[in-house]
Amino acid sequence: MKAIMSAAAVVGVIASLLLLGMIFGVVKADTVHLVEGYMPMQMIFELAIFVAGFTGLSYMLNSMGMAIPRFWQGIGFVAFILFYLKSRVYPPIPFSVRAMYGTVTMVAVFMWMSSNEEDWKKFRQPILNVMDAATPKLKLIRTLFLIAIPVALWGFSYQSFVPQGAGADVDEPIELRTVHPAPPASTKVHGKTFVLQTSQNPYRVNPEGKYDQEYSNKLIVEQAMGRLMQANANPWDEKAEGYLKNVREGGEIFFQNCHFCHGDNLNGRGLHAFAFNPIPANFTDPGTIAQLQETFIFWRVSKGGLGLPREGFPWASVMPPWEQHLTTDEIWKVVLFEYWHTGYYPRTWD
Amino acid sequence: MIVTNPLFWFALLAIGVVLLFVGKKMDLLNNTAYAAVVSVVIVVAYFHIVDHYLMEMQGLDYWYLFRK
Amino acid sequence: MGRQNGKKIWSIMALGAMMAILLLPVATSLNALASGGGEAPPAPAVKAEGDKKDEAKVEKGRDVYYKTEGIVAGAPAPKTTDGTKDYPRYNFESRVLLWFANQQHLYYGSFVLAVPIFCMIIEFMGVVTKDKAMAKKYDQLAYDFIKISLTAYSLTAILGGILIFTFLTLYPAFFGYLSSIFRPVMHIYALMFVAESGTLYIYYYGWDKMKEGLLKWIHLSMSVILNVIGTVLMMLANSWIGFMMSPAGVDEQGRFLGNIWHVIHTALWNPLNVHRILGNMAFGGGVVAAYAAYRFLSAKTDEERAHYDWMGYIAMALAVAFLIPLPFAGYWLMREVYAYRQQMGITLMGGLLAWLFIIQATMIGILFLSTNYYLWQALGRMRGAEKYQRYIKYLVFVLVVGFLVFITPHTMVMTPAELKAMGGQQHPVLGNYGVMSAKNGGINVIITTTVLSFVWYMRGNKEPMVPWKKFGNIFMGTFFGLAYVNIIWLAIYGYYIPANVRVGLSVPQVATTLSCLFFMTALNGVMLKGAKQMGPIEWGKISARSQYAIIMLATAFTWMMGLMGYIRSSVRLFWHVNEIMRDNSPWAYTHTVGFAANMISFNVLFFWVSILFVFWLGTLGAKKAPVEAKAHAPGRVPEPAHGH
Repeated sequence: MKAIMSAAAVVGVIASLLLLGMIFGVVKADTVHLVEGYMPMQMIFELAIFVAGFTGLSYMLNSMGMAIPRFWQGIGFVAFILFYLKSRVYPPIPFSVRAMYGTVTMVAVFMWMSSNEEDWKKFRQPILNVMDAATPKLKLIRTLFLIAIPVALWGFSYQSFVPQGAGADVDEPIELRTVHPAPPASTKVHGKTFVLQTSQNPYRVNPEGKYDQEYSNKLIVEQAMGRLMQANANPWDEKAEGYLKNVREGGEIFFQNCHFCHGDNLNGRGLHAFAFNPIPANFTDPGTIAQLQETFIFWRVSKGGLGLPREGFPWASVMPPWEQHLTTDEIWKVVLFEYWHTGYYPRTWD
Repeated sequence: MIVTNPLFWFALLAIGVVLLFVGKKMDLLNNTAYAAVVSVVIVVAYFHIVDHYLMEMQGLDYWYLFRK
Repeated sequence: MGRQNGKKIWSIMALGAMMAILLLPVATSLNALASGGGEAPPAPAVKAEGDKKDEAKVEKGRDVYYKTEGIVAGAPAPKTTDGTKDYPRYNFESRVLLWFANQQHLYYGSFVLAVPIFCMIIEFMGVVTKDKAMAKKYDQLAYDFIKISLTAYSLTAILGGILIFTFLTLYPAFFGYLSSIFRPVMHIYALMFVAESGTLYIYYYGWDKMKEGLLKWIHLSMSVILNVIGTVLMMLANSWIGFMMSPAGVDEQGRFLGNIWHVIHTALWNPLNVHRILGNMAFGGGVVAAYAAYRFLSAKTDEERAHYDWMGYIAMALAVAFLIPLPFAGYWLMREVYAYRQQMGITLMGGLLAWLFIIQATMIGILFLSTNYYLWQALGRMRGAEKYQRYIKYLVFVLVVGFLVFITPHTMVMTPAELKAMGGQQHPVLGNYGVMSAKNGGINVIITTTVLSFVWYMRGNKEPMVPWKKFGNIFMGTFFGLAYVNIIWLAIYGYYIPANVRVGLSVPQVATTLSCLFFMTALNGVMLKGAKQMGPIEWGKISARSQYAIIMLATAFTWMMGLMGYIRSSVRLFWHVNEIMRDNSPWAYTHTVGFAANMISFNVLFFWVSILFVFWLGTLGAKKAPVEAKAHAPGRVPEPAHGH
C-alpha cells in the first residue's frame, strides 16, 4: 500500500511541476502536448493522473504527520481544476463551459467532503470557527470577509458592465445558435423536387452504375489512419472512372467555388473565413457532415443561408444559395467530394 | 484475424469456466493471482461476445475497423 | 376446506361482477366506437351499393398516416385567424395560462396514477412476506401512500376542470375541433374517471374492513383494477397529444374518416404511453420520497425518524427502479419521432430545441448524482460500512468525469470574442465530448457507477461468508473494471467508424451496463446469503444531507418533467395539430430558452408549494395516533412543521 502511494505521490509531484513549468515557460510549453485525435481521452487521463498523484501526496504527508486539513484539500482541488481548465487546454475554453465545469467540480468536492460524517465535520470546522470568531484572529478574518464579500460582489457587477475586449468595444451578446437546422421534408431545386428522406446522390455509384454506398465507402480517404488515399483509388488518376471521376469533378467545382471560405482542407478556415462570424462550417469536424444525411447537405448547399427555416431565425449564415450558380448535378458532385475528402460517410437511417 | 471470430471468444469463455472448476477442485480459487486470471479471462470473453452479437443482431459489424 | 373454496368462488365472482360494472361504459360504447362515434355508417354491403348509386354524395378521404381510404365523417380543421373570435384573450399570452393549467394537472395526474401502482406493489409485498412485523409495516406504508394520493386526487380533478375551462375560453376553435374528433373518447374518459374514483374510494375506505384472509386478496385485486383503469385513463389522454403531434385517422384537411381507432393509435401513441407510465412512476416515487424526507426532517422522535427514513428509502428505490428503464423508453420515442418525421427529430435533437436537451442532460446527471449521494449517505446508517466510505472519493471522480462528458454541449455558448479565439464553433478537445458516441459513454459510466454504489450499499453491514468469497470479490472487481473499459472503449471506437455502424454501438454499451446491473446484483445477493451481519441497519440514523438529496432528486424530476413536456409540445412549432391545423394566434412562435426555463421553474415551485399543503393536510388526520403512543413524553407532541 505504502509503495503504491509513494509512487503515486512522486507522479503527483512530477505532474504538478511539469504543468506549472509548462504554463510559466520554465520548460517548453509543449513538452507534453495534446495529441491530435486523442485529446479528449488524454485530458481525462491527465486528470486521473493528477487525482491519483494528489491522493498519494496526501497519504504521504499524512503519514509524515503533515496532513493538509480537509478544508484546504477541497478548496485546493477546486482551484486546481479551474487552473487546469484555464491554462492547460488550448484553444481557450469558453467561459460558459468553464463555469459549468467549475460548478460541477464544486459539487463533486462537496460530495467528496460530505460523504461521511467525520470528514464533513472536519471540512466545515474551519467555516464554523470563522463564523463563531472565538479568538481575535478569527474575528479579524470574519470582519475581513464581511468587507470582502460585498466588495467582490460589487466588483463582479461593475466588471460585467464595463466594456470588455482589446479595443474596449462593447462585446456582442452571446448568441445561442443551433448548428443543424431542421430541414424541410422536400426541397425544390431547378424545378425538380427532392424528398430529403429518400433521395440519393446520383453520383454515388458502383461500376455498374447503381447507387451503392458500401462501394463508395471503400474508396474514400481513410479517416482513421492518417488520411491516406486508398491504393488504386486516386480520383486524379487519368483513368479514374465512375465514382472516382465524379469525386474529381466535385473537387474541381469545390476549388472553384467553395474553398475560399470552407478552406482547402475543408476545415472551415479558408481565405475569407475569418471575415465571417461565425466562421464557415468545418467539414472535418465529426459533428458536421458526418452526422448528416447527404440530402441534408444537398439542401443546405442549394438553398444557402437564405433558405434556412424561419423558426430558427436568426441563422447567421451568409452562404449563397448555390442553386443560382451551380446545376443540380454539380451540387451533388460537390457533396460527393466533401464526403470523400473528409473521409466521413453520409448518415443513413438503417 | 482470429479475434474477429466469435468462436474464439466462446472458446476463451469455455477455458475460463474450465479453469474456474479446476480451481474449485484444487482449492486454488482463494489464490489472488489465479482468481484474477480466471476472472479476466471470463469477463473479457464475455464482453467480446456481448459486443459481437449485439452488433450482429442489428446487422452491423463490430469488427469493422479490424477487418480492414 | 369446502367452505373456504366456496368463499373463494364467491369472492372471485363478486370481483368479476365489479369489474364488469366498471367496464360496462367501455363495452357499451365499443359499438359506437367501431362505427365512428355514434353516427352509424351504412353497413358495408349497403355501402358498396350506395357507392355505385350516388358516388357524388359520399365523399372519400385519404388517411394522412395510415393511407387508407375512408368516408369523410367530420368537418375540416378550422382555419383560424388572429382575432378574438378564434383566440379570445386577456392582455397577455393565452398560451402561458394554458401551459400552467396543463402542467399542474399533469403533475397531479401523474402523481395520483403512480401512487396506486406503488400501493399495489407494497401491499403485495406485505401480503406475501413471511415476517409478520414486516408485513404490518408494509401494509401501513401502502396505506400511508394512498392517503397522500387521496387529497391529490381531488386536486387533480379540480385542475382538470380548470384546464378544460381554459381551453374552452381561450382556444375555442381548436378545442372544438379536437373534441369533435375525440367526442366518444372524451365520454369514455369521463366515465372511466368516475370508475376510478369509485374504486379508489372503496379501496381506501375498505382498507381496515378487508385486512384479513381472502378479503385482503380481494382488496389487493382491487388495486390491480384501480391501476388498470388509471392506465387506460392515461392512455386515452395520451391519444390526444399523440394526435396533436402525429395526427392519423383524418385526411389532409383534418376531416375525420370514421375510424376512431386510427385517431387514437397514432404513430407516437404507444411510445408516449410507455414513456409516460415509466416517467409517472419515477416521478411519483420521487414525490413520495420527498414527502418522507419532509416528515423525516420535521420529525421529533426517533421512531418517526426511523419510519420516514425507511419510507423514503423504499420510495426512492422504486423511483430509481423506474428511472433506469426510462432512457430506453425515451430512446424508442425519439426513434419513432424520427421515423414519423425526420425534421421533427432534427428540430428536437439538433435544431431549435437542442439547447433544451443540454439542460435535460444536466438534469439526468443531477438525478444520478443525487441517487449516488443518497446511497453513500445511507452507508452511514450501517455499522461496518466505513470500509467503503474511504473509497467514495474515487467513485465521485469517475461519476463526475462521466457527468462532465455527458453535459458538454456540442455547440458552446460563447461570446463572439471567445468564438474568434477558439477559431470555430467546435472546440477541438471538448467538441469531441459533444457528440453522441461520447455522451453514451458518459451516461453508461454514470449508471454503472450507480450500480456499484448500490452493490456497496447492499454489502454495507455484511461480510460474505461463502467459501469462495475471495474469488467472488475479485471477480466482481474485474467485472466492474472491465465493464468500464468496455464502455469507454466503445465510446472511443465510435469515432473511427461510420455513423450507421456507430449508432449500433450504443446497444452493447447499454448491455454492458445492464450486465453489471443484473449479474452483479445477483452475484452479490448470492454472496451475501448467510453473510455475517456486522450490525443492524439503524433506520433514522441517516444524515440530514441525505434527505436534502432526496428532495433535490424529487425537484429535479419535477423540473425535468416540465422541461420534457415543454419540448414535446413545442416541437409542433406553429401547428395546433401537426400539418393539419395551423396555430394562427400571435403566440405561434417558440419561446426563448430563458422564458421557458423560468416558466418551468414557476410551475415546479407552484407544484411543490401546493403539494406541501397536501402533505400538511395528511399530517392533520394522522396526528392522533402518535400522540397516544407518546403520551409519556410530555411536551413532545408531534406537530406539523411550520414554515413551508
